[in-house]
Amino acid sequence: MAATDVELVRGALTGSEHAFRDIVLRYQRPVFGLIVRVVRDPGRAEELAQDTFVKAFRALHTYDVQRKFSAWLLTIAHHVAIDEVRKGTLATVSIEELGDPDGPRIDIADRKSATPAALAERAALATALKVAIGRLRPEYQEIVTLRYAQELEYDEIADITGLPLGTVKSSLFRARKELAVEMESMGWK
Amino acid sequence: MTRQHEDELDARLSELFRAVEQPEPSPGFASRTLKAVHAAPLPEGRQRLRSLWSVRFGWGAFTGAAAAAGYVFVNLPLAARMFASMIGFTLDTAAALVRFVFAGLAWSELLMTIGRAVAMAAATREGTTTLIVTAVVAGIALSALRRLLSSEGEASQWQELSSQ
Repeated sequence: MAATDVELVRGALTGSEHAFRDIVLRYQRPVFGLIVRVVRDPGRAEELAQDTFVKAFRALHTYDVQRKFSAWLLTIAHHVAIDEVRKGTLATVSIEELGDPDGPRIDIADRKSATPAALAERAALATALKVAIGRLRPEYQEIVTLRYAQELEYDEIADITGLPLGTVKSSLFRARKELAVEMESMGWK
Repeated sequence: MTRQHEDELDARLSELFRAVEQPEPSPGFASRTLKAVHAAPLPEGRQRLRSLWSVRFGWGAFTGAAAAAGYVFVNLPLAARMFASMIGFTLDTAAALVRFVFAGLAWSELLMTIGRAVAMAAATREGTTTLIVTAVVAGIALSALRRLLSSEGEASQWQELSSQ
């Protein structure tokens, strides 16, 4: 049975590299996914994701086990990404580039069991979704990612982003509408 | 937009995101991150990460050293005798030192006596071998012990290893 987050944290605190490696493997995708939505540069996002884990390890003794570990870690990721954006050093990425193969990879889930036709359809869907998300405002992109990619609750999103709960709800409401319009404009209903 | 429609849209988007994998970092990200974690300074009182291999090596060295020491003492009576005589010699020297100090003898004479005795003991093949083996075993055992004592979590990791 896989160790719980709290068990892994305790292991890492006693110096177990194995435990912290498991934490990185478990959360590398959510952390990278969140950061890349904000900074929109996969190379820089990877460096920032690494910074996130370093910061998390350094602050691991401050983690309150009553709190959900993913929310704690994603809060650090959020701050790291926002700090980077505030520095203003990031190059903007055009919408066309969002569909670039060198961009952040959005792959097809369950690749092994899918038929070629289903794979092709899902690949098209993945691209459309990437483009649609890319057309949203950056703050919406992050909230949408936290809600749908990380499957977090509204209060957890508010906790991570530091936004009031009402703002999170209203932002998601607008983001959903915009996302639906974008997807429909690309032929997905 | 009604609440029901909102909920439907929410569910559809959840489904849509589940159908595609999310962005992921390049291969080797975890290893690179662990290297960065190793290099980062830590707050006071925090333990550095140690790999499973170093733990294994520590226990291996400790067990090996203990086994080597056991072998020397149990299976090599000559070595055991030499070691016992070395201990005896050390105690004699300490006693002689006390006597010499109180008797007011010259330090040079004392040092020469010690030096001669050490040289005589070490000059034999068995003596030299025993000294080297003892020094190596002691070094490995101390190093392994230091590694083991540096982590509270060591015992649990050893149990984890034993159960594998």
